[in-house]
Amino acid sequence: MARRTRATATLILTCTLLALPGCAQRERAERAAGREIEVQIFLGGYGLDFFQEVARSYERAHPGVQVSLSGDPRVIDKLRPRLLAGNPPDLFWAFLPIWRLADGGVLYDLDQALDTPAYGQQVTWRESFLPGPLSTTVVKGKSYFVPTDLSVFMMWYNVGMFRQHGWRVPGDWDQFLSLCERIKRAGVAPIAFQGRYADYATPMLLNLFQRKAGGRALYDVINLKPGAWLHPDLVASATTIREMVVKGYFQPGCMGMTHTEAQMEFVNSRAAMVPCGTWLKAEQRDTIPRGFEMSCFNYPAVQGGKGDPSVVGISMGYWCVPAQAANVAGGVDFLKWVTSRDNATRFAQAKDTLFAIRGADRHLARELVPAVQAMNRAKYTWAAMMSSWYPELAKRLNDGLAALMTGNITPQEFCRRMEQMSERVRRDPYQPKYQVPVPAEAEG
Amino acid sequence: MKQDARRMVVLFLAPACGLYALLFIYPVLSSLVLCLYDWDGFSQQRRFVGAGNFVKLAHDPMFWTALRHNVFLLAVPTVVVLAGALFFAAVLTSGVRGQRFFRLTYFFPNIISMVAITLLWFFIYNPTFGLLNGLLGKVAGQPVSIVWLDPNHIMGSLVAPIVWCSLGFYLVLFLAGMESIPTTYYDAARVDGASAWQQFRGITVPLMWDIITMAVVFLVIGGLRIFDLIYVMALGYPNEQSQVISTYLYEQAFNNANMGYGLAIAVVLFVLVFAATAVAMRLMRREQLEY
Repeated sequence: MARRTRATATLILTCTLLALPGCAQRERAERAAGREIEVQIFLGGYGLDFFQEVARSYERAHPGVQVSLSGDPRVIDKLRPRLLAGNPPDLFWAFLPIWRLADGGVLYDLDQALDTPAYGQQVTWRESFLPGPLSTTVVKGKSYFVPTDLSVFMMWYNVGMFRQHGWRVPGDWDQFLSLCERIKRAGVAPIAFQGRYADYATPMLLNLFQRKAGGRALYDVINLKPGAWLHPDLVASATTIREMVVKGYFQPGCMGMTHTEAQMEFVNSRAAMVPCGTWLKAEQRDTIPRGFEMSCFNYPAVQGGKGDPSVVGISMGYWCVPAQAANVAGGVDFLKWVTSRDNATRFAQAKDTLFAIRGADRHLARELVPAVQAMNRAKYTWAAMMSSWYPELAKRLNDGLAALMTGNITPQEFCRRMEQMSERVRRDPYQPKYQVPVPAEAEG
Repeated sequence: MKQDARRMVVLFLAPACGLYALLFIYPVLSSLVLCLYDWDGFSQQRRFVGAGNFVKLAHDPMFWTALRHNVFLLAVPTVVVLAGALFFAAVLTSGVRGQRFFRLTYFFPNIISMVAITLLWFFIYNPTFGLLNGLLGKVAGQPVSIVWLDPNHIMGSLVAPIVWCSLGFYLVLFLAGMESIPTTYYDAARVDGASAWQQFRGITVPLMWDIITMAVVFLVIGGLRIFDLIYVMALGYPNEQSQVISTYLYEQAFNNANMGYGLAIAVVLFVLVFAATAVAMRLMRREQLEY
């Protein structure tokens, strides 16, 4: 009896062992033959449901092709060994250092595909994207990934509270500071802030700097030009932020708050404003009290400043096709399908976010309309690319902002430290360097 | 028969040794090689840079900041835990009532995972609804809203959870040591008129010196290798006020895609742990007493 049990167990184990590599090989063969597309994405606030639905619609439009789409909050841990083993999925979306991956030849060059017709439109895939976001994907003159969901950095405000007190959206930075003072006098914290992640202040700092010094100076910072962080207007912008803390315009205790804690303070009307990207509504969807109204405004102009006040700061998610994927063509085609205007519009509507595709903003929630208008009005958009390109610099910027806002360092020290960090990155022989082209409008 | 026994020993040891070699020795040796490369950890492309990563590390201000934090977290909790554990062990061996209850209670944090402990303290430190500010508010008679985990306070705030979760283990260790000392020594000392403090200094500490040395070594290693508490307390995002070597290693290797540089930090951490252990053992070497 015991012998029979042992024999059965051995047989099961042997069969399983033989079957596992067999399954993997068959799956890869299916993908290589174009019959299957494997997609792995980050499972976060957007969930998986929408993408699953898009996958099914792709399968209906392409009989004989199966899209195997999975999501995981720790998708990076799944991707790393597969990228190393040369057996990656056909398409992925993950918060990976994709510029470095592109530089290392891990990603597929999408340039040729970008010049093919887009799904459902009479334009090329390239032309279907908003030009600003797409320009951020160029590495050594080639596009290795495409932008998808898009966020605009805005200052959000409590509409009901503003209406009740007769406060108005400020027209310039001086008015903004006076508004903060009035809010404070009314016994409300003017600004909730995500202090545990102090880089939420980066758009405020860099937008203020751009308004003061002009676009060229901002792009010098982004492109690590020597001395860019020591610009007097950047020191002045850091000084303004520090003064806002000293004057009590940021909510007391905010430096210990996470992003959700600070945003909860805002939606629960304990603070009148909060700086955040356009993902705010989606992120707080389940916690927004009934009747709470919010809207947003772009960072205001600086009187006498050199910079165009219409300019907005943005950030994006990127999807990539690995060069060693078994079904590169399938990965590219499914990516085109995901970013078709119809799907982009539906995604933007369903998930309360913007999308980097032209015309995808037709059915957005009321709260997001000012952000869309700001995007449409903007002479150009900028993204803090140095944060994506140089993670160490991004981290030091976060730490520096925390130290600045808690009064541990002066604005001068903050800028000096950032300049030192930029210098370290410039001199690091192992760190690939990138440049974002300065838009013609920023030169003026 | 002897030959058979040897064969059996080899046979039984082989799987464990094989796994150890595969899961520990091979990765360590690989790290020693890979730290000499500039490698992102994702692609198969890597560039030999020799000692380049170590030179970069020597000039990296964040590494030195992290090391300073490690030294703080090594020194302060070590002193507090040793003093506390010795004190409570002495009190518990003095015949106090409910000894078993106290022993279990003090040991209790050791059976909770570090992540759970960190989350517990995360809530204790919450500036708006945290237990600590609530208690301080009761004492002060007005609301207290100290932000315990902001950049100015976080290092000090880390000491309490470390002490809280370490104390019980060393208490049990010291209790076992103290209970093994023959009571006749204390009886003789009492006859000679020695005070409780003199008995503690003259009998307990010398006879427990080996255990105390071992505790110091454990605490030194723990202080240098600390990771989970800080990683969770800083919400996976330690800044320059809370960065320690192991979190910096993780940040470089996994967040910044500098796997080669991260491994260089790991090698330096290994050397530091080794050296600190050797120094601690050397400094605490005494003539062994037998009883």
